[in-house]
Formats: sequence, structure tokens, C-alpha cells
Amino acid sequence: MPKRLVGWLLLALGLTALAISIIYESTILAFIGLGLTFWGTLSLYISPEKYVKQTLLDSTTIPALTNLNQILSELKYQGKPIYLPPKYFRDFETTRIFIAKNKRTKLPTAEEIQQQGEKTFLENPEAALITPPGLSLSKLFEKTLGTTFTRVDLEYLQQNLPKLLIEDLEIAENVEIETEYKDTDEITDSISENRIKNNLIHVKITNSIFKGICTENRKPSYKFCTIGCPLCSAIACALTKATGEPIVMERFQTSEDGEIIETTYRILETTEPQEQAEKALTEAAEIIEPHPSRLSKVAGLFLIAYGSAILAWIGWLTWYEITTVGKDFILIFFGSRTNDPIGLGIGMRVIYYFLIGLALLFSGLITFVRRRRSKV
Amino acid sequence: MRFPLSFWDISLWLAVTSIILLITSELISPYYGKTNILINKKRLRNAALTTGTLFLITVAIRIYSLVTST
Repeated sequence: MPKRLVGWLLLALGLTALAISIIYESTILAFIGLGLTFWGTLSLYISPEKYVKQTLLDSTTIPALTNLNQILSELKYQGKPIYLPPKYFRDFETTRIFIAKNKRTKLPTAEEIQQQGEKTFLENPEAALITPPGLSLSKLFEKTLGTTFTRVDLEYLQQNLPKLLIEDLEIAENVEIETEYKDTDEITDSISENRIKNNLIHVKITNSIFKGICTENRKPSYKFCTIGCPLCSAIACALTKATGEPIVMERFQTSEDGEIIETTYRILETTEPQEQAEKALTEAAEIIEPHPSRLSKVAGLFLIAYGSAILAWIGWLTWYEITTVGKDFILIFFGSRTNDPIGLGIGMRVIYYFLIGLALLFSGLITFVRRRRSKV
Repeated sequence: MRFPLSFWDISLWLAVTSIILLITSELISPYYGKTNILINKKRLRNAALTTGTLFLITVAIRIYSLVTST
């Protein structure tokens, strides 16, 4: 509140100084008034959103994770938590965690899970389907990025998640995402039984605001630590949505001071036919309201309009100079325009404008083509 | 009674302000480590870019007036 008060005070002083400067025609007062008005307005504009203390975040989140662990442990669930993509559910914007009762239980197909409705505890096979602790956070990621992860690929996440976490949400100081693809025929456990590839994704997070929760979650007493802290879980949700495949949190490493958290996610690629799921996803994409990247759309349109305007102007100029002045093409395009406003005093020629127009037009077109590809 | 600042005075003021804002916004960028300054950094960057753009527009107007006056 005092911060906003200072802003209003500066603004009022600035406006007063400006008014006096107009009455007395004083340049110095005008500069002072302009400065005070500007900084007053700026301090009101850049005032922060509501912040909460990190300790508050830790103490409110940890009990929920502890409870989840205790419930699953007491119900004797032994399977490894698997993040399932939306194709396993009727709601195409959700992800859930599959935890089998038995360690050897195979992951059922999307159809088998869909048949059992939206239950938390499945009967065939005996398993639990729980909401990930980071689901809301992953939805916040989507909202901030202005897209839905079901429409993007892994490359998009690699490029945009670090910027999102560091710059936009200021959740971490540094984020690195690396992928590692390796074909393997090894069957390590029941989860991998019907898989052909083990694609690993390494995520390294430095100085995250969730480090306290993450460290707590990785204590040996947490049997289901591979569900992850809200941040690791949100990243798993994003990965499973983007890849369209189940994801397992494979390995954790935390530095001694808890500043660096390294998590390895494994993509479980299914070999079973997925026509039905793909069809369902396509249908969902038609139903869901589109989230186009507005900035790239505007930028593309702007470039195309600008390029087209320049080319149209060159076309008109060429036509005019051929029909009225009787110049030829070479003279029009390459001739010196030193005494013309077209030259801008820096020796500009029509050919330069033509090249600029072409470059703008093609840049705009490329932006559009890239957008369409990313949609596919 | 008239406003005592000319167009070029405002252009100069915009240049100085935009430099201050751009440098501040770069220094408190989260990429250089988390800072404890509780301000909306995105909005500050937007303000810096806006003042910078306004200054560049005044420069463009200056160039245009130079070219057309010759």
C-alpha cells in the first residue's frame, strides 16, 4: 500500500509541476514535472502482484503430499507411479497418475481405462488413478504460454519451458532440459513389457522455489516419491501431454544444499495400435477452442502486410515511371535517387526497397508456415 | 501560456529515460539470478521497450524532416 501511495504522490506532484511549468513557461519545471509524472505512473504500473513467503508455500503443500503417500502406502499399492496422457481419459485436457496395486501389473490400454469411467480406484486391473500434485501448475504453464501441451511437441517444451520457469513465472533460476533417445529390447520390469523404446528426458532445475518440498518429498519415508513435488509433477504432466505417451519419473538427484534438482523422466512408448486414441485426439482438437500463438500470427500478418505494401508501391512507381517518364527497368531499379526523397539521403535505390519488401514478405510467409507445422 | 518543452526536448528526455529503463530491466532480469526486487519485471521491460520505441519514432521523424527539407 505505501508503495502505491508513493506512486500516487509522485504522479500528483508531477502533474502539479507540469501545470505550473505551463503557467510560468519554465523548462526546468516542465522536465521535473514530466519526470515525476512518468516515474509515478511507472511505479504504479510495475507494482508487484501479491507475493507469499516461501516458507508458507512449503508448510501448506507438504502435508498434502505426505497424506497422499500415507494413504497409498496403507492401501498397499506397490506399483510405480505412471503419468498417463489425455488419450487414456474422456477429458482430453487431463492427465492422471496410474499406480498399480501389484508390482507386476501391466499398464492397461487406453480403452480399458476409459471403459471404467472416471473412478479413482480401478478394479480391473486393481489400481489407483490419482490427480497429479502438479496438474494445476501445468495448466498455469499452458495458460501462460497461451497453448495446450496436447498440441505441441517435445521440442517446443525444450525451447519454451526454461523461459517460462525462469522469466515468466520466476519459479527457478535455471532450467535445462535434455533428451536422450536409445532403442532397447531389454525388459526391465512389467512396465516395459510392451514397450519398444526408452526415451529419457533429463531436467535440471537450479534454485527452485519448490526446493524445500522437493527435498522433503525425496526422503526415504516417502514410498511414492516418484509422484514428485508439484514442480516435477507439473513437468511430468507437460511431458506426457506433449509426447502423448505415459511417463515415469526414473531418477532423482539433489545436491547437498538442495539447490540443484535433477530428475530423469522415461517415456514409455506403446506398441499397441493407437488409431482410436489418435482419432479421439483429433476430435478433441476440433472441439477444444483453439489457442493460436497470437504474437506470431500478428507478427506474420504485419510482415506480410508491410512487405506487400512496399512491393505494391514499387509496382506503382515502376508503372508510373515507365508510362510517364519513359524510364526503363534497369534505370528505375538501379538508378541513383540521390536528389529524390526515395534516396533518404543515404543512397537508397528502388532495388533496395524491392529486396526489403521481398524479405519482409517471405519472413511473414515463413512465420505462417511454421505456425501451421507446429499445429500439425 | 504554452508548454515550454519542444519536440526535441521530449525526444532527449525519452532517450535518457529509455536508457535508464532498459539498463535497469536488463540488470534485474531473472537470467542473471533471482533478485529480491519485488516488481513486475515484465511490465518494466515493456515500459522500457515502449519508451525506446517512442524515442526511435522521434528519430525517424527527425530523419524524415531532414530528408524532405533538402
